[in-house]
Amino acid sequence: MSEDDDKKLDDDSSSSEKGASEPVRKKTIVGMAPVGQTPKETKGTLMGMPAIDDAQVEADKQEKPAAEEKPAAEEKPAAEEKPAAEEKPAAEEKPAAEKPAAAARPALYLAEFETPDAIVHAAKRVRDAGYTKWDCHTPYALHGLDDAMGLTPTKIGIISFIFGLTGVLAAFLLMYATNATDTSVMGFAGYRAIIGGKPPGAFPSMVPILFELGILLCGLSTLFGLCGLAKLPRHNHPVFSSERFARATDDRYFISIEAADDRFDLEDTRALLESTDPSFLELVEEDAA
Amino acid sequence: MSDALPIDTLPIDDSVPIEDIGERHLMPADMTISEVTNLVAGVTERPAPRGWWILFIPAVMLAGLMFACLGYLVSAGTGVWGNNAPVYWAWDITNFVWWIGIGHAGTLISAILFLFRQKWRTSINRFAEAMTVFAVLCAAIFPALHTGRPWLDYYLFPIPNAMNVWPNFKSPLMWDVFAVNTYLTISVVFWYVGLIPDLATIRDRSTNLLRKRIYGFFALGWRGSHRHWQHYERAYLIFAAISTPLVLSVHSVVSFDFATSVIPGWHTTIFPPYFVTGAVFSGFALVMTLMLIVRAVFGMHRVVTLKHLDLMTKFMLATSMLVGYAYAMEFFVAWYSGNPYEWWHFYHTRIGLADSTGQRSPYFWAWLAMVSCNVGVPQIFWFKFARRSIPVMFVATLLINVGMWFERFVIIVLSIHRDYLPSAWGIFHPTLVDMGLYLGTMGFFLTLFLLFVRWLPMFAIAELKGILPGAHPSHLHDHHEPHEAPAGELSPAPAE
Repeated sequence: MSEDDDKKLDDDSSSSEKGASEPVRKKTIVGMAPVGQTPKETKGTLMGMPAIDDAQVEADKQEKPAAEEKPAAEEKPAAEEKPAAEEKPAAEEKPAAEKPAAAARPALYLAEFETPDAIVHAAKRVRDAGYTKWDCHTPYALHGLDDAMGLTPTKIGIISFIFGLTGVLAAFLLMYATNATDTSVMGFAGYRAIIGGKPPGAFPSMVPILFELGILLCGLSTLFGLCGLAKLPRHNHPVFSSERFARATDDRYFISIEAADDRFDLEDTRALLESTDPSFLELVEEDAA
Repeated sequence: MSDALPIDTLPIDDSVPIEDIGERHLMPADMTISEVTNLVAGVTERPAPRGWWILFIPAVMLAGLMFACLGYLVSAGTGVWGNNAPVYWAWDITNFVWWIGIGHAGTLISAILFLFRQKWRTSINRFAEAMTVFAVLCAAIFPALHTGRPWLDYYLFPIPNAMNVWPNFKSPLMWDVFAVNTYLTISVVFWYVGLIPDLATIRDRSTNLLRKRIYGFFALGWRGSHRHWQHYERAYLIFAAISTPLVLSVHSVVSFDFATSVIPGWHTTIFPPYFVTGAVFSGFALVMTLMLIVRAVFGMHRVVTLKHLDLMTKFMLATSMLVGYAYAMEFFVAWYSGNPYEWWHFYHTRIGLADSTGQRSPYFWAWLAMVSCNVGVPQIFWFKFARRSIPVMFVATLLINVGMWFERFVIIVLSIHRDYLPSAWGIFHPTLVDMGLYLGTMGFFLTLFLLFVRWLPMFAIAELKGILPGAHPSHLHDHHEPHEAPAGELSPAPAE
């Protein structure tokens, strides 16, 4: 146990090789990094400004050296740092932490930019360098990034269209089976209802419901299609480990390049991102938990 | 900077105002992205201002009144309403149509103005969408009760059952069930999809773990990824594209409830467009009423500028003229049709002229109230001072909503209290339960609405950021730069 911890503190790359076989992700904390996980990030910070000036961060920094001196006792403070509501997950994490090679592996590089121009420029550079598993994070939909990232047009419209037509068809079958024929389907039969002098199965009176059900299925499939294509909900993601990333939904623009990308290289990728002149660059690591 | 790249051949960024025709930036020129975040997300983080409590407490009390009336109504039966022969559709249906209509402005603002690229909608769309959802909820209460045995309302849905009893899909009332339920569902989904990035903003600002978890849960782990934004933007466009015909269809279907009957005053082909314009008109008025209150209570003068209010009053003026046209056309068609019942209905019950026996309709004042509030009052917005004066707008929008309630009352009650046979005539008197339920739904609506402005981002944060000056890469609108006026000139008129 203490050996592993030492290794983890010693060398990122060796532990990353070791941990490649069994990555251990942080237990899900809803959409954010838990307070008090700064030590590894401060270590991973390569250039730029210190992490967000926050009393909690300061407190953690002071707390951490003590923990490093006594690796065996490390888990306890970690558990204590979490609020009471966290008790149970913290307890569950213990066995995971005892596995070897749960050390910090690089998850992604995160580069921060201050202007739309800067991120579009940087995105073109990353695109041209041939990366595939990378992303831009912006507080609003930034025009021009589709091309700068080399994205192909979204296919969500196809999903909506198909399900919209399905809704229309389903509505027709429903109305036909219940109001236009008395054939029994699975034990349920309809009536050949003549109402208002209109024949059974009169098409014009079906139109409103054909339309409404078409819209209903189209809308719902767009929602679920969006979730499916974007792979949401996903409440844990390595980017949330970065303290600075909170500003991605406020006023900063980020580029993340994932370590899972074939071209990812601790040195080269960093050099590429540095050359785009980010206002901040950090290596975010997998949470060892 | 990057002339060779294909990105420079992209079409013009339409978020940039066209200076040549006098368009200006909608938001104050000195507004920054983080100011938008702080302004909007900050509301959910600070204690509620006093004005909020002043509205919230009476609203909750009124909502309590609604539940009391509901309980009494369900236990005693619909006889506690004033509905009686021949006026079987009275305040309940009036309120239903009124509430549904109010909801329509929300969809109009979020969908139709989106398709027309009206960027000013970003300051009011979230607000109006929330209003849609709550208004439709209030509306749905009335027909559900009007069935008489609300616990059997599941008969409205085509649920397979041993008796093989199916709904009659040729009935406009059945169409209503599908239209209103679809409308409610799609409105909720549209509203929620718009909320996702903003919930993530609040999540990322939260210092309190409970807040982080609750907002984070509903934000679905949104991380502003552009790969997501790409699908998201298209999904949003699809929602706008399907909501536009949907909103037109819903009030058209509501109007079919009347138009497919044979009652004089109901049986007319102008009803679908007439109902839709009226709905948009009243909804805009209510959006504006609430907007003025919230703007004052939460100090949102920099997000909802006088420019926005000015545009909204113009919109109301336009829809008021459309509604006025529909009123006039109803009369014209009643006369031109040569149908004596129809014409008698209009000159006797609506404008209150005495008939051959010297009798006057007891309700002619309702028609006067409707025309003066809906066509007369908005005319003040021809004048610039009225489009800049908050008190004038406030009073006018309240009167418009009163007028629009009377419009539905006129259409529904006036038409059925005098049909073909004088022996079948009757009159309607509302009861306390009628009044309590109507006031109660207002309280219920206001309660939900106040909870919304207090706990959810009341403006679309991400969309507002997208229309700020300089929000998009400069090469997308290089050709505009020579025209760009200095910051001082770009800012709209100073807030009152």
